[in-house]
Amino acid sequence: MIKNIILIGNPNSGKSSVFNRLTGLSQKIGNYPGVTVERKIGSSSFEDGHSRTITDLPGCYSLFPSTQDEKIATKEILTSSIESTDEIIVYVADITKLDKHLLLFSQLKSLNKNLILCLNMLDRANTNIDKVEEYFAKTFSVPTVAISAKTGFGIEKLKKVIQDFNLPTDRESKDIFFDLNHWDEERQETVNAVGEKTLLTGREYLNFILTNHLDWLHEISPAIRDRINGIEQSDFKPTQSQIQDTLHRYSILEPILLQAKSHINNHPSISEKLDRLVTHRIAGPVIFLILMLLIFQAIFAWAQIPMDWIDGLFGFITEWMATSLPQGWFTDLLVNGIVAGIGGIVIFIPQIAILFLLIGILEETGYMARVVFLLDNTMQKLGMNGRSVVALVSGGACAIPAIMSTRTISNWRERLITIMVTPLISCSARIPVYALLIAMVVPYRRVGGVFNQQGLAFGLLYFLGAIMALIVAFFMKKIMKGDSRSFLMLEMPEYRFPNWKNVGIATYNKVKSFVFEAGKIILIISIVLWFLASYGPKDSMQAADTLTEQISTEQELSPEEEAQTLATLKLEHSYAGIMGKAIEPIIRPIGFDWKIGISLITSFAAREVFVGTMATIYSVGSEDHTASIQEKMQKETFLDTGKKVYTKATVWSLLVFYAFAMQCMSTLAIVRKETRTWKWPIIQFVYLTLLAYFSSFIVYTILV
Amino acid sequence: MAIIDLSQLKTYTPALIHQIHNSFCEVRLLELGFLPGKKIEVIRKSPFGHTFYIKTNSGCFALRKNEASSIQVKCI
Repeated sequence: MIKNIILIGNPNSGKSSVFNRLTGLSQKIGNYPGVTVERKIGSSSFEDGHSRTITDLPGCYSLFPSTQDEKIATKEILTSSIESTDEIIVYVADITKLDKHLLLFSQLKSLNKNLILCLNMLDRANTNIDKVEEYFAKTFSVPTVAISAKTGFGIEKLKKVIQDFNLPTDRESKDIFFDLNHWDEERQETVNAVGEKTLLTGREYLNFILTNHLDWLHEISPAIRDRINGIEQSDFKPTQSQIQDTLHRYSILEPILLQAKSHINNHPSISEKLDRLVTHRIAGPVIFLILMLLIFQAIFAWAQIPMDWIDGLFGFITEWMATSLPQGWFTDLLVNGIVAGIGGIVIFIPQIAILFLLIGILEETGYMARVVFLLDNTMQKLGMNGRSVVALVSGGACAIPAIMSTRTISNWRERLITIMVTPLISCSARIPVYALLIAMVVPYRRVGGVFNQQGLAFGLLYFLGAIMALIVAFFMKKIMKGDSRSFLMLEMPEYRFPNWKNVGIATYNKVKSFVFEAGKIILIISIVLWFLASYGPKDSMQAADTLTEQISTEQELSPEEEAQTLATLKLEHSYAGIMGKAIEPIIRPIGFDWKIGISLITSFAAREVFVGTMATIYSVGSEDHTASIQEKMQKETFLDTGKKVYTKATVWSLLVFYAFAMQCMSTLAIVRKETRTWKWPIIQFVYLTLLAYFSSFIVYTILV
Repeated sequence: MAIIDLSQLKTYTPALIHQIHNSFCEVRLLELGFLPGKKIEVIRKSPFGHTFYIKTNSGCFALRKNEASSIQVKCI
């Protein structure tokens, strides 16, 4: 029995829907070693009681890859061929687009793979299912199943076919798509030489493909690479041989398909008509802008309610623990360190979920491809690619998946510029920071009936980030040398109603990885912070005690006021206070005090930590557990001057700082991974920090 | 039957693909179904004619001017 099932197909073949149908929620999303291409693996249980592993390879058009995704898929396919591992390939094809979807299938056939042909999207055509299945099964001698991943029709049958799959007895059956004898002598010699060197004699198409990939073959296997290295290819023209192979395949497929098509009647497409509006030179950008505005309004309108619940819940838990648990350092750690830290993670879930959901829907419907068409020209002027828009828009949710999505851009300079400016797009981690700070200086008042002032302030910050991203991109384009090979050949998928299962599972996976990956960092930092803010050098902490006593007797404070003063002074003398004070001279010109300094230090790991830090600082610094952080911050005054800390100038300066600064370790880690050097994340960190500092300086100087 | 670049073709005027004369993008275009003899149509050009919205038998595609002008078409 073969336990490994691999899904392969062209982009937009509905492969992911099939994967979701087969595996449901039992998916593991990881990365391929060394690259950040998503590796999706899941398991599925079958009628025979066994469960099988399903791998979803990135979509690709052929075994002649031109993007990173396709290279990964090609590499996996070739590696399994070289090592002759046993697996079943379920080849997913769009039944309405068989003209081009069977090209890769024919190549896999020539590699003698164990294939099942899965004709997807039955819901888009009137098909004589039995005739079509029988016809392809006979023509290609592969089991064929017609399904609709959207409705679920045929999935059970597909599973049955997988379960009953028998290894063909004549593995080296006649290849109708490839015949080495048709090639010129030189090509034949090279292919045979590769075959001998790699000990893969007789597997002509595999060796033929290998001769085409000598330039990046080292990614396959060093051993094979070394063996082939010695082969001289005189007058080698990989492109010519690829064109010849492709054209030959089409010429064989065409008559086959002509006969099949009598059984398939595609439903009329609405895409073209819809696109007259969506890609219109004026209507198009207007629709795009309205959609983006709607997304942001939706996040605030929808997310607020569950966020209030979560906030209330954690307030309740904190208070309950503080009152019912025995006093001591452990309760303090639990309440002000751990619970505060977890609360800081959980509060994000509604916003992240909604953002990923909405962006997921835009991608599912096929709208994103239209955005690429609309904005490619503009983005090119800024040194980027139409596809960069997808990254920049996703950056509104999180820079990490956004930067990962740039791998579909094949031009290195365009991709790098996109990676470098994506963190300037305000991500969801900034939302709580913005929310906290805006509420302190902008009144909640309606403007023009629809928007309120706080919403507009949010909008302004997002706009600021987006504009700055474009400006930086423009300058990077001027500075960086480009390579000329930039192209755009993008398929416009048919519009389709979003598949809720796909969108739901993707959102679930992303939220899950946020909670566990980012959550870990945030929780650890929260605990470290609690320690830093609760403890300090012994003599320094003693000084706080003496000082409190002194102030207390001088000003005749009530016991309550005395406790308050002591807490504040203790924080000031703690390790955190010392660190914050150390950087105060640098941040004073932009209006920040040492408490903000502490938050800046901690949120260089992740910016959402700001709110948590503020929560920790102000709950450590006060006996009052019930007042919100915001109320506490608003009351905050400088101990020496008695003036309010959070003036309009300081808050706006802080907002601008958070809009621009690179405060996310995970993003830096992803950039390192994507660019494969520390050079770019370091440059990114330095330029964003300087940009943030000087912008804040300007804002503070103007407003103060 | 005049042979011209796809980028010179008027919108909504079907033509037949003659050949592709840019080896850099030829393989990918073939894989996307831009085969000699197939029908092709320009649905829309972006402002300033930078990006092309193309319709073929195998679907709709966005191409830049550079790619579009590498496709020679026969007017019908």
